[in-house]
Order: sequence, then structure tokens, then C-alpha cells
Amino acid sequence: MSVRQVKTCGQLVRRVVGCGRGFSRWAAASQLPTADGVPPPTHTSFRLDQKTYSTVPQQRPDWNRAVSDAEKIVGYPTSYLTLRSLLSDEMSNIAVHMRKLVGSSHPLLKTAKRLIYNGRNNMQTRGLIVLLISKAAGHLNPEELEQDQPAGVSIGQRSLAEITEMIHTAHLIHKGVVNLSPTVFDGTTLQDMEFGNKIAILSGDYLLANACTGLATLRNTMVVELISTAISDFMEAEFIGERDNQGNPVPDVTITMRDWEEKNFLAAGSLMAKSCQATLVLAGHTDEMQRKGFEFGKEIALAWQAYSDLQPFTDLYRHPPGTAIDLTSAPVILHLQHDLSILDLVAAAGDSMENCDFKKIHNMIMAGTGVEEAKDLCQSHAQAALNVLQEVFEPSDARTALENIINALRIY
Amino acid sequence: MMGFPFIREGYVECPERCRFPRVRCLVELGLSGLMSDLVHWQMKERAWRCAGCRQVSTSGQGLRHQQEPGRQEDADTHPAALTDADLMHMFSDITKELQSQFELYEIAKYYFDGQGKAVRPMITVLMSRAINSHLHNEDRLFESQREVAKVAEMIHTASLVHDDVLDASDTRRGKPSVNSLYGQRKAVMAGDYILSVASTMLARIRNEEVIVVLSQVLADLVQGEFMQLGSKENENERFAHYLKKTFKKTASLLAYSCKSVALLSGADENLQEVAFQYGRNVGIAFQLVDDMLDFVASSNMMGKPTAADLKLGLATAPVLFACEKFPELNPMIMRRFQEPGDVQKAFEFVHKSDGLEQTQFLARQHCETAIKVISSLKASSEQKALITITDKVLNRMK
Repeated sequence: MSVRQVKTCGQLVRRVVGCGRGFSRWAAASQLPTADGVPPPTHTSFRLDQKTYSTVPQQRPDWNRAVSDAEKIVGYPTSYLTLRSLLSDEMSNIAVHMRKLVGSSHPLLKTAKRLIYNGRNNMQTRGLIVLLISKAAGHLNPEELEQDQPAGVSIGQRSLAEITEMIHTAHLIHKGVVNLSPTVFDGTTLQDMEFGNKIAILSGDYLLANACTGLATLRNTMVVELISTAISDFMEAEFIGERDNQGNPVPDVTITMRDWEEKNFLAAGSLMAKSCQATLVLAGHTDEMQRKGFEFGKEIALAWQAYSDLQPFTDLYRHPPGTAIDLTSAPVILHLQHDLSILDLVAAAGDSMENCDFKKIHNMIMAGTGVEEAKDLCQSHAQAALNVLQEVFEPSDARTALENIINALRIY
Repeated sequence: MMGFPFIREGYVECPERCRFPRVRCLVELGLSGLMSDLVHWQMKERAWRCAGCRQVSTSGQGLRHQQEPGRQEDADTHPAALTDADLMHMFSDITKELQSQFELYEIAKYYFDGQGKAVRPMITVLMSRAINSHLHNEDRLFESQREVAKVAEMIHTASLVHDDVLDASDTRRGKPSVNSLYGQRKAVMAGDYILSVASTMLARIRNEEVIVVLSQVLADLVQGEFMQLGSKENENERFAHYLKKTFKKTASLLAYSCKSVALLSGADENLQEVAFQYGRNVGIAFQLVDDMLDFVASSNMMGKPTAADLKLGLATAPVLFACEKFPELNPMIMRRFQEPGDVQKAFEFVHKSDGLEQTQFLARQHCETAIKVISSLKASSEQKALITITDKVLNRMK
């Protein structure tokens, strides 16, 4: 494609997802990424009676600094959203069709906006962690490293980091597919949703197919097996537990933290853990080392998930009570261990969790011990990740960068 | 009767109640659902009775000796006969691999009930044995090649699941589609799951080349879908666009599966190319016949409704050929048959023109190319069966 076509493509994409001005407030407020990619809801107006909330966005200097320092060490993880990808016919095809979605409420639009505008900090972190682990572990055969790889990370490992991000994004996009039921959506909205689904499915499939061909190029069947099983895992996670008619999870009497851990290991931990393991496989490390890499990935993913579960209760600026929360998140489950009354509110909501009285639930949980216990959970996983790091990897700038990232997860 | 040993006396009624005489009905519909029903039934019953001497045998191979001399060739080259022992356990193997948490398992194994035509695994297995005979003088099937057959079927099914959501289809293979039963979200997740399990099985073959070859299929499938979303304005480009899309969506899987099993047998580049070209030509012919059947078959023969392509706004080969006689079709194609009455008019134009005959002719040409290409292999039962299959592809009714 010519330079002009690239520019047009970029312009088209920007026009589709809205002009930059409205989002400057969003981009400026440096925000911690949510582990499952659900964007914190933006609110455009405050109710005047809510005087207790601070209107100053909380600063999170540690996370951003940790991430940008890390990027200096291993290089900016190559984003598939850069030129190479925008150059492809499929992407420009997608952009053209996305235009028709503007104004609809299909989840795909939100995902796309986040991808384009918050690409730097939010979405690339998984890839970054894979690159950092690669560097921290070193390559067993330094002569094998290609030239011009000053960061000590081979091209294959870089490719793997990119593939991890691609798979994660594909999953997010596919999670945005909406169940089309004529009872919930009327005429034109139904058409919009149907169309949005089409684009979501095709974009997700495109990314997955690219990930698979990328994996094949690595010429390592162990890595392919690891990453494929990770994909199976997070598909399975979507089917665990009760769901409402739009796929939102619903808690019940029997739910425990064991369920939380199992589900979140499959949903978030598996990809992170197996990518870390896979990059060590590529470097030729021993089984023992690979196991440690796996453990590290798992602990950091669980810590991250606990962190993002806590956000509705710790970051009241962006999550005013009343916004929807995941009812199978850690604070909720921990609260349910002491007090089952939330389940009455859940039952009252009927078919769709969106009808729940979230404000009441929020207040109940804030009043209980759920939040504190969830903070402890986050700390323990973060500590476990740190332990693995310090036990196994030699001190290095990459290791320090990882430590900084983990420590940023312990600050609320 | 044509010396066909696999007919149990009395079971001669065509389940489709088609109008062909019963003998022809059973033999001619080689790759059709009927044959696979027949094989499936036999697998369940595990008893085969010779129509001539009425002897019952409990092993699949036992009746070969009952053949009258001169008929040997027919039975030996029958594709179903040669492959059913291999494919018999394929579906149950696949469902074992798909084991998982409750509902996902139900959804994932929904289409692996043996009701599909299983064309791709059949061709893959035949190609494997044909190439093994050619290269090593033994027609043993390697475990790795059987895995490729399974993976091919799984990739195909995963793409069907997604296609049904994209096209909002309610039925597939005579039963409700996954998305109509479980909703779009779960259908998409299940499709991804099947794909990931297929990918895992592929990795376990431990051959990097094969993974490279077969992952190209995934990229082609998605590209084919994208090509279907857009349409070419220039009439001359349209047919080339259609053929390219047909390769990506249908023939690619078959071509690359054949190439993979050739690779696994140790074939050199020329032989891999032979396998690839066979798969490619048969695949394109298969799709051309499919597009033709969309205009001629009645709803209860296929597992899905007809004129479906027109209703989806797709201009397939018969329509593109009909354009030559009826240029009025061109604007209809550009607006993807959206206006009321378009579908009906286009349907009539196609029948009035020679579009269907031309499509059949093109399919036949591709089959002939496939036959020519595969004839370069040493003669074996499987090689002959591969030739027979092209005939069945051309003449199938569903």
C-alpha cells in the first residue's frame, strides 16, 4: 500500500472511533489497566447530591512510570496496530464497516476505542511482561541471538509477545459479541447489533488466524501446544458458573474463592503463565526454569485480576456507586462468605444482571470486610510473584522493572 | 444389484424418498448423506449381510470374498469402503479431545455426531494411503496422517459454527444451528474452542512444516469471509474474485490437508504439489457443485434451505455465468439482491440461462484436472478411489 493509502487508512480509523478532542480527558487521567480489559465506565455528569466524591483524578505515577521505564529496557512491544497491520486489506475493510457502527451501542466500538487510544499503557502490558521475563531469564545460547537485538530478546520472543497481545485482544473482541434476542433489542438496534457482531467475529477471527500463522513461524511445536491450550482455557472460563442472558456471571450460594481462583486462572492466568513459559522454551531453558516462569505468570495475572476487581471499591472517582460491577469478583465473593443477603438482590434482578441495584450492593460491600480481604489477596499474589522473581532470576534491570510493576499493583 | 456387499436386504428405501430407483439410489449417491448414513448405520449394527448369499459377517472386511469376479474393482475402489475402518472412530476420538466443562462440551461436540459428509477426512485418508503406496509400497496409514484428517474436520466444523452466526442461519445438517440453540456469544466461543483444540492436536504431531501449512488455512478462511463482505465493481474481475474466494473458503483446507499428509509421508516438492493440486481442484469443483445445488435441490434433500446464497446477497458461479445472457443481473449483483423481488428474478434468470450448465462444465474441468494430476501416482486402490470421488463430487445430490 502506498503512503497515501496508509494515511487515509489511519484517518479513516480515527474518524470511525471519534475525534481526539472528546477523549483527551480520558487519556490524560492516567489509569490503571483493568485485567480483563473491561474499560472503566466513563461518566459525563455527576449527580449534585454526591458531594463526597473527589473530583480530582487519583494519580498513579508508579504504574505508568514502571511501565515506561520497562519499555525503555526491552523496547516498545511492537504493536500489531502499527503500520504493518493497518496496511492490510482486512483492517481497512474492518474500518470501513466499523463506520456503520458509530452511534450504536455495540460493545465492539468501546473495545476499538480503547485499542486505538490507550494502546500505549493499557493494552500492551502482557506483551511487555513477556519481554521482560525473556530478558530477565537470558538466552541460554547467546550466539543464537540475532544481531541488532540489544535488549537480549530474540526475534522469536518478540514475536511471541506480540502474539500474546493479539490473542488477548481477539478474546476481548469476541467477548463483545452480543446475544441477539428480539425481546431485548428492537428493530434498528437489532440490525446494528447483528452487524456489530459480524464485524466482531471477523476481526477476532482475523487476529486469531494471524496469531496462529505467527506461532507456526516460530517453528516450535511445544510453544504452539502451550499457547493453543491457553486459548482453550480461556474459552472454557467463559462457560464456568451461572450466566444471565447476556453472558454476565451470576453468583450463587455455593460460590467460594476456590471458584474465583479456578475461573480467573483459566480466564487470565493461563495465557500469561503459558506465554511466560513459552518464551523460556524458546530460549532453551530447563523444565524447572519453565515451571518457575509459569508460576510467575500465574501469580502476576491473579494479582492483577484481584487489583482490577478492587477498583470499583477503591477508585470512587471512576466507579461511582451504581455502576455495574462483576458480581463474581473477589470482594463480592469474600463478602458472601460472611453475609448472603446480596443474593436476594441478585435474585430480584431476574434475567439480566444489569437490573441489579448496584448502589446498594456497593454500599453493603464497603461496609463489610470484603474489600480488606480482597486487598490481602492481591498482596499475597503480588508477594508470591515477587518471591518467584527473586528466587529464580539474577538481578538485572529487567528484573527490577518487573519488581516495580508488581509493586505498583500493591498501591491502592 | 451391482455386487454391492454392504446392503442389508430390506434396507433399500432412500431416507430422502428421492425418485431414483432403489439400486441407483444407494450406489450413485457416493458422498451424499445417504451413503454416510448407510456406513453409519452399519457401524452401529456392526453386521454386514451379503445381498447375494445372505451370509452375515461381523467384520467389515469379511465380505470381500463374496464378490463375484470382475466386481472386485468396484468394491476395492469404493471410497467409503476403503476408509470407514479409519474413520469409524474418528468422530468419537474428536469428541474425546473436546472434553471440557459441561455446556462447552455439549456445544462443541454438537456437530461431530457423524451426520456430516466427512468428505475432507475421507479424502485426506485416501490421499495418505495413496501416497504411502506410491512412495513406500505399503498403504499403511500413519498415526500422524490420521491426526491431520481429524484436524481438518475440526477446522471445517469450527468455521461452520462461525459461519452460521455470521449468516444468521437457523439450521445446519437438518438440525437447529448452534447459534439458534445457545445464542451467538456461546456459539462464537465454542467455535474458537474447537479451533484451539484442533491447533493443540496439530502441535502434538510434532512436525513444524505441517503446522505452517495448516495454519495458512486459518488465514485463508478468514480472508475468504472478508472477500465475501466486499464485491468487485468490474464485471471482469468478478469471476476471478469469486474463484479466489472459493479457493480460500473451501478448497484451501482440502488442498493443504492433502499437502500435509504428503509431507508426513516424506514426499518431495513435486509430489506435495500433486497432492495440493488434487485437493485444490476437487475443492473448487465441490464448491461449484454446491453453488449449483443451491439453485436446483429442494429443501429436504440438503440440510439447509436453498437460494440461500442469493438471499445472503452472494453472486455465485451460476449467477455470474447468467450475467452474460441477462445483463440486468449486474445492478442486482451490485446491490446484493437487496430490493424486493431481486432474489426471485435472479433465480428465474439463472434457470432461463445456461448458467447451471456452464457451472457444471467448469466443475467437470476441475475434476478432470484432479484426475490427471492424481494419475501420476502409482496405481493402488486408494488412488483409484480418489478418481472415483471426483465422479461422486460431480454427481452428488446433496
